Amino acid sequence: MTIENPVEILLVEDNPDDIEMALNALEQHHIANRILVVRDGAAALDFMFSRGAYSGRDKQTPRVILLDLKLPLVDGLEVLRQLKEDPRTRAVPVVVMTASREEQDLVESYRLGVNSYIVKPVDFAQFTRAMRTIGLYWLLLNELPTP
Amino acid sequence: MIIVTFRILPPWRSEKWPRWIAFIVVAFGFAATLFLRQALVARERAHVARGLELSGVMAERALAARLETEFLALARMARRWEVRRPTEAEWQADAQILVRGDANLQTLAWVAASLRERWVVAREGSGAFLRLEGPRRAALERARDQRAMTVSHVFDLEQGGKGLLVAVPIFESDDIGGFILGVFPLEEILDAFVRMDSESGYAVAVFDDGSEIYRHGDRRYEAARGYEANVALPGRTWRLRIWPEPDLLSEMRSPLPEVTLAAGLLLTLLLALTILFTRRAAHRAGKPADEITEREQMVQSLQESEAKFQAILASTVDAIVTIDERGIIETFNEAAEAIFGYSAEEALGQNVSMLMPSPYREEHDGYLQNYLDTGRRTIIGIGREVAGRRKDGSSFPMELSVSEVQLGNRRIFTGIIRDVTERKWWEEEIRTLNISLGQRVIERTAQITTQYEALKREIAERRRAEEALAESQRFLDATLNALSAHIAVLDEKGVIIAVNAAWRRFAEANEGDTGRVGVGVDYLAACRSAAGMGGEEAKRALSGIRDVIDRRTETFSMEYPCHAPEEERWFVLRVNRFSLGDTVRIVASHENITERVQAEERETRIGRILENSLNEVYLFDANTLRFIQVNRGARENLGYGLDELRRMTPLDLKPAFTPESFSELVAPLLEGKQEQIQFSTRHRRKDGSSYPVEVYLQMSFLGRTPVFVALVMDVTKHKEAEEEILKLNEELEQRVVERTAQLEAFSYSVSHDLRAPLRAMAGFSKILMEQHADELSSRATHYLKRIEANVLKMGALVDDLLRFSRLSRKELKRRTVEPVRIVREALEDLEAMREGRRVEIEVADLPRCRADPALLKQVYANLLGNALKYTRRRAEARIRVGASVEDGRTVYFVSDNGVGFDMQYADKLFGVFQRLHRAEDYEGTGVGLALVQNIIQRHGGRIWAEARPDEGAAFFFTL
Repeated sequence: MTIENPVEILLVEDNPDDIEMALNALEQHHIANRILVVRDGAAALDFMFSRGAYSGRDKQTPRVILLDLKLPLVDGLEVLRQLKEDPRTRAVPVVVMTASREEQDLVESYRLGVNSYIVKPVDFAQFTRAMRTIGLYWLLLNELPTP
Repeated sequence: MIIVTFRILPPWRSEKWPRWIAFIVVAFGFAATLFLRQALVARERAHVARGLELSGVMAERALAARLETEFLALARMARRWEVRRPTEAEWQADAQILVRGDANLQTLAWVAASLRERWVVAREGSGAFLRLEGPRRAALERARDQRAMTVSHVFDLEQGGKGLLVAVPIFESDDIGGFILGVFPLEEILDAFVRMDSESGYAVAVFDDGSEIYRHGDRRYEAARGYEANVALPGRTWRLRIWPEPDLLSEMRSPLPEVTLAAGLLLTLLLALTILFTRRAAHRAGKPADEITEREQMVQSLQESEAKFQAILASTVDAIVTIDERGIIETFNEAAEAIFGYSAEEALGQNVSMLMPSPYREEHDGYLQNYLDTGRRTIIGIGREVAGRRKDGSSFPMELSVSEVQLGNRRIFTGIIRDVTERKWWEEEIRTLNISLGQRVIERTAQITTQYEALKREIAERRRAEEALAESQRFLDATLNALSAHIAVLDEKGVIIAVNAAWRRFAEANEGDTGRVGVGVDYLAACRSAAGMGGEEAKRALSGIRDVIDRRTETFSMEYPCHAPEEERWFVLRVNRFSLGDTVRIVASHENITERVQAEERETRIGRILENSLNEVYLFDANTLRFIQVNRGARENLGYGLDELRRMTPLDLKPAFTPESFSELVAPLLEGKQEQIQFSTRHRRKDGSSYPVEVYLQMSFLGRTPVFVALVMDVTKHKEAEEEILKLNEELEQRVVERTAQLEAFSYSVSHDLRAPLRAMAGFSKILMEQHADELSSRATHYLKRIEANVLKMGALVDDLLRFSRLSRKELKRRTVEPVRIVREALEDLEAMREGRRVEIEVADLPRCRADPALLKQVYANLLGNALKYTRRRAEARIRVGASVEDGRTVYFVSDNGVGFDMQYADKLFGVFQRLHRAEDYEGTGVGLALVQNIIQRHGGRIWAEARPDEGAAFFFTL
């Protein structure tokens, strides 16, 4: 997690287990490089808008944001809203990850302009597959992964 | 008794017939016969001539009329033309009708005055042309010159036969503007005319200008027998001849003159012969001897009979007197001598009138003369009683019978007389006796009759009186017995002398017998004894009756209770006095007035209840609306007194109403359209405050006054309670919303917070097994697998639970759905479960219904999922989806041939987490059917199952 390296994936997740599993899944597919993990919504916004702890960082935006909805401080939907409202961050694809199939989350996420949506499955293999699909899709739009 | 003979002598016997008489008779007979015949012939001729003349005149008129009729149509057409000149088409149409309608009109034409222009309409087959030459042109010119309808000379028609032309000038303001021409075939017109007349038997000929133009009949015209007349046609005169046909003549001629002639001659001849024969016979006869002998015998027998007559005359007891025509006595027998006292010598030769007393004597000669003159009998032949006169001058009654006898040239009158003096005397005696007896009988009879009548009258009157009395008694009894009141009649001492049926019945029912209060009982004593036993009412009654008896009052009445053990009764006692001649009678009647008393009491009670009711009761006049009665509840609530309210109307209490709106409100009651109206408003109290009221208003009558009855409820408390309920409901609603939100938050956290650790457990187990397999023993791997399996199961449980809670809360969105389509979608989703299996699924027609399609799909998904799951062990699974109608409701079902279940656990089927099978055998969380039941119930339906272990299960539901 060096600041020097440009961040390709921003993972916003507070649950350490999920972080670990997500990283593991991405690692399995060789896309674990340059991942920045933030543990709450406020940190995610600070990073994206280069303020607070992240002020002064280079303005490079990540290729994709994996965003959990249930977050401390600022919840995922609020993060999504702010990102999609701001012209600077609007173009960054956001994939919402949630354990919930609750309808209002889904509806609200799409209303706010989410790019994709995955429900975190209990089955890890399934999760891994989902992460891979999403990661590949968004990361490889312009660029092949590093071998 | 008198025998008269006379001799017939022929008067002409001595005269002679002259011979020439016969010739005169014959000559005269001939002459008369001839004369008669001539007269008959002349009459016949006159008859024929008259007939001919008549027929002739008629024929003449008929022909004239016929032709006039034929020509009239042309004249009409010309007159129409003068009014308005038609177009050629119009004229043609008009003319066609005329030609077709008139059998005799052959050609019809219009010709202009110049004679150049012409329109022609001809009968079919006649050719539509018209030549105007010869007689036709002459007629036309004559019509123009004479300015009148003209008939032409008869001419030969082109089609054959003769014809005539009729020209009618058309006048256009005094000038001749043209002509209407008609051509008629002559034969047809005249034939038609003759046909009309053919029965008459006359021959007809018509001449125009001396030449014959028409003839009907063969025989030649005989001027002597014919008839001639002129027939005037327009501008022309025809001569008509008519004469009888031979048939007609023979018909008209009778054989009478010839018959007369023959018969007359024959008769004359016969008469002459008769005379001749008669004369010859008389000449030959001379004087016959037989006739003389006959005469002598007759004279002899006459003499004998005269002797007999004399003997009879002498011996008879009756006086016999004969007189001649002048009344001179010719015979006078012995009996006559005895009766009249004259001797025969004295009487004979005397006038019979000496035997008669005055005044008969003087009249007698007149009688006789009268009879002789007129033949009218006054005395003769009529046996009758007259008076006679004896020689001594005394007169006596005698019976006289007179007969007339013709003796030769003389007439004799015979009188047979009987002295009836003695008989007369007896007769008179008997008559007198009879008269006096009759008189006495009449008198006696009259006497008896009078007595009888009087007696009869008396009896009838008495009977009538009795009947009237009985009738009035019966009437009185019936009336009294019909009355429900118990009535007794008392004498002046108070003893009962009569009672009616009601009294008797009452006495029997209450006393057991009528002994104590029946007829003959002292009623006062009975009352006294009752009073003595402490009966306060009896005491009052006693004194009341006494007052009436003692004439202190006229009447007395009192009401009193007289309760029987099982019922309350009230009676009214009325006592009246009346005089019957010198005697005084008292009528006491007791009448049961229980009903009235009870009704009054009820009324009073109801009144009291209403008065004390806490509901407000108002009674107000339907016309003036002024209050009549207002109960206490209302008065206390309003704060007004009754006097104040009686000056007020409901409008004073109900500020929300105007007089107009109030009368509009009560109109349905006044019109009888509604019995009651109910409305809510507010009442204003005297202190100005107001309260909500519920008013029930209806109409009634107080006597005859229409009134409104208002039952008013102060609903202040209701209103408060209603508001309270409203508030509570709102609160409840709020709490439901809050609870729901809590529940949602709960399920959200369940989904996140429960699933997160599971995910971690599963994830890390997986990582261990996949990335660190070489570091693990086989046992460790096994345990890790068990951990993973449990985690997955837990995840499924959590997911189902969440799904259940989510669907339970999901809003129901009903619309019309096609269950078949939903079943198909559900089956598509379940495709994976059928992979590699033999499954036969039969989906029948399912009626449409109103349901939430997503939820109904969930129902079918669960039921079909179960069916597929529990048929897993079957070699061939059979699943049926269908519907049936039971009790008017559609029942949908899903059945299978799976493992089924024991019906004794059926009640656990729909509970959450309830399972009837082991998880090892059939995976599942026990949420599916609970969810299905929840959905069905939210649709207002019902779900149930039928199953047998190892035979299959069927789930039924309604919506």
